[in-house]
Amino acid sequence: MSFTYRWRYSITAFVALLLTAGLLTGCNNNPYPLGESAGNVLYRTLTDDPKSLDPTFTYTLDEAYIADLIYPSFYKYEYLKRPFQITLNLGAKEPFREKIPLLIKQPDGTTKMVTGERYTFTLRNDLKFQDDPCFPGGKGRPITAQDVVYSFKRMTDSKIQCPVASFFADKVLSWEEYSKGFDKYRADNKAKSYDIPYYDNEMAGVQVDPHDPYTFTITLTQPYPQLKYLMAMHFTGPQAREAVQYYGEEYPRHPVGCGPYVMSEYKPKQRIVLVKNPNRHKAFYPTEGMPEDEKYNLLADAGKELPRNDKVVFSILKEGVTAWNLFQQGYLDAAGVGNANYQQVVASSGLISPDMASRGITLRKDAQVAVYYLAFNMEDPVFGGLDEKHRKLRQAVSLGIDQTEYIELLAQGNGIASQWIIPPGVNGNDPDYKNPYMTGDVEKAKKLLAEAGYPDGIDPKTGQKLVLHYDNTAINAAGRIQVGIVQKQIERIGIKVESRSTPPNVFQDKLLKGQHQMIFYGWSADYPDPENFVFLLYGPNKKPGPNSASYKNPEYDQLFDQMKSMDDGPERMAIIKKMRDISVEDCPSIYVFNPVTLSVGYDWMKNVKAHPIANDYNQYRSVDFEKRTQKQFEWNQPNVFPLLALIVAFILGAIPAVGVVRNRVNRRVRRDTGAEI
Amino acid sequence: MESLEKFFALDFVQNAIPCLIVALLAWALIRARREPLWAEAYRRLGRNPVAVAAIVVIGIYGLVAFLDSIGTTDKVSQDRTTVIDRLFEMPKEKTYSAPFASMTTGEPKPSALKAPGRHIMGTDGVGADVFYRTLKGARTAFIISGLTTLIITPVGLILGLIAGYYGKFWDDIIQYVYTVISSIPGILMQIALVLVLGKGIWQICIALGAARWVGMCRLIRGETLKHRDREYVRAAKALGVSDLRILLRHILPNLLPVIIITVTLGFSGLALSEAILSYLGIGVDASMGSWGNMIDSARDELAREPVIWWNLTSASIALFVLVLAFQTLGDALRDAIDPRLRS
Repeated sequence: MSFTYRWRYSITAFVALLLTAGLLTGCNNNPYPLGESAGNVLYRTLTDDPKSLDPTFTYTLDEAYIADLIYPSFYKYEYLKRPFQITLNLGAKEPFREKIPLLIKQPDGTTKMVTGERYTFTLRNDLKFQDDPCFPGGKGRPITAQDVVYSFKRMTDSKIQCPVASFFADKVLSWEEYSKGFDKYRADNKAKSYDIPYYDNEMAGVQVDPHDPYTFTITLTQPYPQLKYLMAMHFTGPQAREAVQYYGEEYPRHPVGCGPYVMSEYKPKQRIVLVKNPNRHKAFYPTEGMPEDEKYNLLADAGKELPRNDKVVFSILKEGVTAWNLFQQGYLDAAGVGNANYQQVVASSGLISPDMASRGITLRKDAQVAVYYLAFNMEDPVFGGLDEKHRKLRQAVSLGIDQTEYIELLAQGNGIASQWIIPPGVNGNDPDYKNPYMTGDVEKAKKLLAEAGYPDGIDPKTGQKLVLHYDNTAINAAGRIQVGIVQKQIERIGIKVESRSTPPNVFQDKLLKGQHQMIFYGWSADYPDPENFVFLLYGPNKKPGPNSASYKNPEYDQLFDQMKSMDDGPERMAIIKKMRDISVEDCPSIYVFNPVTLSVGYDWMKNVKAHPIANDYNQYRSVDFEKRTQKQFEWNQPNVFPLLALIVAFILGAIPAVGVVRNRVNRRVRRDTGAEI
Repeated sequence: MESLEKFFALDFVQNAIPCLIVALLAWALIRARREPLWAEAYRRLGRNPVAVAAIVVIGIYGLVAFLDSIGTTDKVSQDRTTVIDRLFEMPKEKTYSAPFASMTTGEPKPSALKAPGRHIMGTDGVGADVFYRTLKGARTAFIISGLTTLIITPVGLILGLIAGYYGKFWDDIIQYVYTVISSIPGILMQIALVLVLGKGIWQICIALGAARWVGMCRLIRGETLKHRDREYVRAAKALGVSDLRILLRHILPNLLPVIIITVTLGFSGLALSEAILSYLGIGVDASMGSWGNMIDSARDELAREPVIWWNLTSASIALFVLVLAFQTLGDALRDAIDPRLRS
């Protein structure tokens, strides 16, 4: 063997040795930067990158988990108290509410005198924005009422497309006028940037008090008691105009707020890190809760300063499996429970499995304030319409749905069979009410179907079975199962259900054009007021509004107009009951279920209570990180066996190769001597 | 247009089309036997046991696909029941159940099956028999592969012949077009096309065809180029034979072996593509049997506890065996017909 070959062998051997040594010493599967998890850091997940963190625009849950920690509002929700209550956050005192006469312009040009309402809000005077390069010297400046007024002006700007703008549009004085001014200014000046000089114009409905820089007023043309809840959403919190000017189109990725946290790191598709904001105003953990909170030790931190942790890390994990594995290794503090891991987590008794319990994991079941339903297209010639026959047809289809089976198969039995549009947890939900068309009574359905003019589900005009088109976006396996189950259930009554699956963009287009027959829809509470649910059936809210069924019953609409501005009380409840009876008979939707979220969390995470409406709850949680570090170490011991097996297999596999190389070397030597030639 | 749709919806027409296709194929196979070149190829194939096995396997798949295309439509419900439906359809269960099980799995409280122990490959999430769904996948695979081949072959053949035979200007244009198309990542173009055209069998076939005719075209062009300067073509030219006649009578028959081998090898690739598109969520509708959809559902099912493996296993085996059979047959065909490989 020549020297070169020996030399090559030794290099190969050396590299192999280095690799093996490197693998063995670096055997640590901790996915976070070195030492980070050994601190009071909360580890959470997001399923995707937030599309925007502009508080005027962002509306999805994943985005709200971040935005609500950076952009607080006048009010916030009490963390522990139930039913849901709001309390002052940035506000200095409860707003002053008064009735005032208002002269408003009507669409035909004439003016009319109405009784409006004026709210006077006063902010705390110790508020400051976070430090950010957009401010002079990089230091956050004090916040005044002007910054809240700025947020309201942004909501009227159609370029930003605030999703709750329609809530205000018909109620706040001069809202639409101001909004149209934006469009005109942008068109006239070809102004494309977010911040334009038009923002300097006064907005009559939302103004700063000339006598006090911390006070602003909102003038409404009609009573709107739900305003207080909107003042608890991130849309209405103060925003710095400097930030919008400084970052421009990049503003949605550079949040500048005054909340308990600031965003310190954002790696797209990887992670978002929030750290304590040094400029935050003083806020404290609640000292009062519900009686059962004592049992879960939720008041141990009562009166201590918020936030209760130093840092919140959101890992962006698209695949549920990854999150679940990280949770099991102790690298995530909590995880969701779905179809995939249900049987691993929950024992047949319905409680957490002993194996999980022994690792200090607790299972939580939290009812969401949400409703999932199948909405008919009320403008469809076959299934829409308010007359007797069409109504009976929809009632029959509604009876086809078996809620219990649906919840068992698609939500592992964790859900509440809903009876109407208002979910439990919101006033107006009557726990004793049973919807006569949600009983799953197939015989009754067949009878109704015959009365509707389709005996045995056959359309007498064509002699063929009646077909109901179920429009959906089911492109993955879970979606196909949902579609399959809806099909199977409704087909029990004798009609045919055909699925029309399209990509989401085509689906949205179909909805806007009203080319659908039935869709699946969900609504989660913006605020705990029945108005936020009954408006899903209000005629003027039809598509593109939230009334996905395009249901329009004048009687219902009139009752809605009546109840929307009332305060909760027996009178309001009576109206809601009437609305319920009307809409249940008309049957524009099939109310399938109210979801219940299952989640698991480790015992080292403290102060855990779910809040189905507020999204800022991560600031209340703290972590016993010493315990976590110890457990992580215990559960993640390197398993060297596969590596050794691999090395052995490699060596065994290399033996023939060595033989081949030897042969070739020898052959070459022979050839060199000319023996073979 | 509407009357055309009605015509194709007729039971008689729906049954006649597959019969016609099978008859045509049989006729072509028998006819080919009479040609000396093909008779030789048949003999060589017959002597190769692996090739015979591959043909038998493809034949079984083809039979399933054929039987799944023959059926009757119920006047009232408009449901089409094929022979495969009659033979293999099972009562729908509530949800998942393991092969030969008597209870469901994946439910908090398992319930008894309607057909205990008779689901040889278990049931899927909506309770359908997996073995039956797998059989239904064969037809989809054949339709997609077949239709796409019908799109690719004429396009690739005509353009390849023109480019190879006339050269110069035509060659430049055609080469330019296929170079541009082949520089777009195939899967990306397929996704884009399906999203633009919408979902459906035809749309998928067009999307697949749009990306794949390039290979066929390139091959034909090269072969034509080679034959163009051969003596027999020159002789024909000297005798004043028209270009069309030269192309069809002289060059095309010489290209046939290459085309047949390419189509056979490409067929299985197309069946795989259907699975990939379905996996990406832009495949055929859920109501059609699709191995791709079955494999896609494994994304959730394999992460479950207990693992639901039968859907994936069943579809993968079906797909694997079909692809293997076509590849083997393709190789055997090459050995059998390609004169250059003959000793």
